[in-house]
Amino acid sequence: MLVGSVKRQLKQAIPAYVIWILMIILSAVLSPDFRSVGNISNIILQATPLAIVAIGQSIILIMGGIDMSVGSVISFSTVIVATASNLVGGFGSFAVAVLAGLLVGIVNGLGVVYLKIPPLIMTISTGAIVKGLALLLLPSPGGNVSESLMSFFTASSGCFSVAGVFGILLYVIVTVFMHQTRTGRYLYATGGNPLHARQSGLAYNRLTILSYALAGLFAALAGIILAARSFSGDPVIGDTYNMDSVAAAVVGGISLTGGIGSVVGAFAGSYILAMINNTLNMLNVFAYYQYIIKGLILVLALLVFQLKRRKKYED
Amino acid sequence: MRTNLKSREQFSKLSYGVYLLLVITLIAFLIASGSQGSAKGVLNVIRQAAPLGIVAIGQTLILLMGGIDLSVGSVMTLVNIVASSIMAGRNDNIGAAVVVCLLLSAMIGLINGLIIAKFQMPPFLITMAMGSIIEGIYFVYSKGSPNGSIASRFRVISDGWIGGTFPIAILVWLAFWGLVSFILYKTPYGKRYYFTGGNRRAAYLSGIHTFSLTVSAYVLCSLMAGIAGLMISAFIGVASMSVGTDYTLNSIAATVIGGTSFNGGIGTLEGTFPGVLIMAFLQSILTMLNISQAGKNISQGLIIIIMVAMNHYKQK
Amino acid sequence: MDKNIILAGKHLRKEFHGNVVLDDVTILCKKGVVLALVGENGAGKSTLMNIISGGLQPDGGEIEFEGKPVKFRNSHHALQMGIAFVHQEFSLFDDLTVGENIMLGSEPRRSCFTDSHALHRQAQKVLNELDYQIDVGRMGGGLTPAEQQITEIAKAWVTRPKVLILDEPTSSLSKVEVDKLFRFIGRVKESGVSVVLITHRMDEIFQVCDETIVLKDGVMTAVEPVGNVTKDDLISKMVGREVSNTFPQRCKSVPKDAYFELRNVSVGKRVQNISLRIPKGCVTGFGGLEGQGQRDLARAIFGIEPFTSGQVLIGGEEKSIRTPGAAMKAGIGFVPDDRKTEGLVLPLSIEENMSVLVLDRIARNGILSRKRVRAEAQKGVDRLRIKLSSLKQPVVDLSGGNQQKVVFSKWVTANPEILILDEPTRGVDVQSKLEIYTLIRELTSKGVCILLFSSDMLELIGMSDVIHVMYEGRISGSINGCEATEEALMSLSSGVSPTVKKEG
Repeated sequence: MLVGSVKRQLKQAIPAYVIWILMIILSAVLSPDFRSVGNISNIILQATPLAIVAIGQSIILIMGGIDMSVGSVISFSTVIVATASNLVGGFGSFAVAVLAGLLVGIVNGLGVVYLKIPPLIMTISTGAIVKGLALLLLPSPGGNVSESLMSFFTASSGCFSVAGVFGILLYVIVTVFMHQTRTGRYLYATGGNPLHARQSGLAYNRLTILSYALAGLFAALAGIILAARSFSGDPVIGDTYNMDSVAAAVVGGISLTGGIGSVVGAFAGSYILAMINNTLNMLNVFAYYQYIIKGLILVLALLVFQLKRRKKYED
Repeated sequence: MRTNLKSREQFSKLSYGVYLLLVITLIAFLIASGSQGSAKGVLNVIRQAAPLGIVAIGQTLILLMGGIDLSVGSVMTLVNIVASSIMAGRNDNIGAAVVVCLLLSAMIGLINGLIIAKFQMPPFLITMAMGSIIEGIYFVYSKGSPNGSIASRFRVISDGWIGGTFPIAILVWLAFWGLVSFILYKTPYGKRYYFTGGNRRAAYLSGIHTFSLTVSAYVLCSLMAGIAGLMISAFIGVASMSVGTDYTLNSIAATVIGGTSFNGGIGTLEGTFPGVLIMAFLQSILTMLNISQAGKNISQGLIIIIMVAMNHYKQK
Repeated sequence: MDKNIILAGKHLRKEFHGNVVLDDVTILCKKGVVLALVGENGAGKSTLMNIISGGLQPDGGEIEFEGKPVKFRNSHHALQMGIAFVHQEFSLFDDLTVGENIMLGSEPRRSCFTDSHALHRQAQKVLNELDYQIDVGRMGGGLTPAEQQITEIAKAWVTRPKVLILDEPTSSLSKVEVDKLFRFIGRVKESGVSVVLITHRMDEIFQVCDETIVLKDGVMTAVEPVGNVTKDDLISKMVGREVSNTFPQRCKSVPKDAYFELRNVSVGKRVQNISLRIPKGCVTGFGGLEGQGQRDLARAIFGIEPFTSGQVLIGGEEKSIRTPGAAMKAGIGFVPDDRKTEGLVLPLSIEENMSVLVLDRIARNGILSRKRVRAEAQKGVDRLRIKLSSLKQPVVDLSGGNQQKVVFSKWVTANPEILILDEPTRGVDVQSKLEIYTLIRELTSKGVCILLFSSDMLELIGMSDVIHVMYEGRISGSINGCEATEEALMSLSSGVSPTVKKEG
């Protein structure tokens, strides 16, 4: 059925799904609380914003860059939704937040392409600026999220809320885009070997800007859903998502060196991270251990996945 | 040959530019502080810049060597919390606290360096993950509400003024700056930072042990962060959960203002010095204008983008 | 005008940093004609091909396409007009399949999605045209050099070019594969395409080509229909540079006892069971076509990618050399072929680059003084007359020749007993070359053991006391320097069993 490199890229995601499924089975057996509808919908609620921002981060990583501004864009987007609702209405604020995310992404892309600033530095810097803007707009958590936006995204039946389904839908669209269109394949090629990509006449600049714009877009969407979930805007809520989105992508089998992996993996990666959080909460582990565990997971995932990959190319 | 001379001129122009920028921010600071502006006010800002100055020394070393350390802010907070709790306000405990804090920071640097060099991992992710781990550790250690305080005698290094006219903190800063400058410029070990950062492969092929150099650089940088953490502790006197947060980006900003390149091998400690002062004056201006946190973030980001773009343009 | 001429480059001229690499060269690519472009390394073949395929802009002359003058913006532009250039260096993507690599840029689509099935079917069809079986579903990263070469050709052919340029396409192919490729070229020719074939192998010219152009030092020395020339004619037009003036006198007596010894050393399959005994104070040359293991041998000796088996002896003592640092301790130096990425730290100054190897020696009680660093650097600069405005100048500003001198000088400063030179004069002007050669002689007279790896045959012949020619990872023959001729080296290089006297 599947033909070509897509098969190999999808294979990279298998370990993440195996781990995820094992985690689900283990949790279901060990803890009766886990199986409750309330808990499962809670996990989906927690995982969805991370899963959505991880889409953008994955596209960037596959193209060979990195985006450390997504966290601030998420914060900014929650702040916009929480402050602009009164002026432009619920879905107006949705549109403004999305446009703002796209704009930040495009600025990132332009900086990387034309100012030749290394992606890490460019996105850290725009991240700082955007965070500053968010703080200017809303110095402390609060604001008003429009009722209509909130009820739209949080409407649910059983375990599934609209937000959760929306997340899955985005994954389907982006997976098809990455694996079944020319642009997607060129993004892979660019990440795999930027030099050869230029030699082959691929539109390197446009591809780069496009991927940063997409990362900004998905970060904004993640922010909107976060705001809808928590009924408020928060200028620092996104801070942890920079690292978490990279961790989700790496756990999902996406290579930091570009060109390898599939966004599909980031989905499992996000749920693995969310479930670890959930489990720690249920075991009543002191909340701050999460920082330690997240850091360790990232280092561990880097060591396991990146080293294995390097070996494959020797000989 | 003419073009060669031109590029030398451009290099030197860059450092004049830094001093020009420094003068501008200094004037802006004096205007902003209005009637309260005085020599003592200026010295006070410089005094408060000492922790940033010291951590920026470490960050400069790392950038020169071709890496980056995003864990310095967390190291500073960790040191602040650990030092406060060990000292618990008693002068007898100063020695123990200093030793423990420095050992802790050196160990963190060692782990950073070993993972990065041994497994050839991207430094920013490893140090970022390390930052998160340290954050977790100090949260857990202090159970979310840190206690203890800094011994009064130790606070002298940040609060003391020699004869009431010159701050001791500036002397401490200058001492470390001088020491590291000496190592960087006058020893074979220091010179190797430039080779390794400028072209790691060529350095390796010239017999430089790039592995141990990388590890030692991260240890040194973390140590500097630890010392900066002690300085800031002496300043505020108590334990605080977020005291180091801004220092990671600020140290990077100060370093790039001074002309150090992210690609490694280009930059000086002399440049970082005015870079730190510029950041310090800028932040006190922003504080006076009452837009501190948001303004700080925006200025950090803008400064880094503008300086990196300018450095790149000049080197072309 | 001749209707058959598809692409014409007229009176082309190209300079790099003041060196003329092409001078008044005219090339005509005609419909249904296979044109052979021959010449030694550095004769300007690749430059010429890059110019007519848009990769480089000429400094003089003009290009006409189907009778009309054109200016190619870049190689992509030229490709769209129908000029496909298959480079010697491959540009395939490791993580795309063979099919996706071949069809890159011309993927079939169904509405807005790529049609993977059709894509791989079409790629298979192109490979069938080449009469070559590669599973189109395999990944680019797992291909052998031969398969990569064929995939590259297929990638070019899928664009249905009017001019197909192949740069040494046979260097990684087996005999059977070469025959298949030539039959393909024959069919391509029949369909009215113009083919340009760059090659080192004389037999190939007579097998498939219709016309030849010979380049020597950037100048055309012959344009002939193949029927009118013989192999010897071509070689004499390619070679025949004045040897005697370029190279300093070699010393008369060559010591016999081995100082540096390799016993059955191998690097994977790229270097296989080489044993050599190399005396002090002479130049040992290593030649052969590109990619026959010379580079791997040089790098293994210096510990960059160490030998996988065998022994290395220096002065009768066995040494384990697994890193460049260890090699330096054993007294080995290495001037790499790529000075920009491996030899120099470009943003740093001349004095810094010059002192990197001897920092510990210059330092007194562990402290460096600027004065001593500068004095050491000045010695190095004087030794090779490096042109500079100041010792503090960044080396990135120097010309190629001067940069190479800095690398060279830096190693001489370190006083190695054994000095490996990998393409020491590539991209270096004539004057600098001479100075480097003179320095090599000075070093040998002091008893330094020089290992010269070069693709420039004249350089090997002019400088070496003994030349070992490598072919497929082994030494296919050895010739004494003073008896060596280009013809003899060439036949050894192509793996033909040597009729030359073996060195004793």
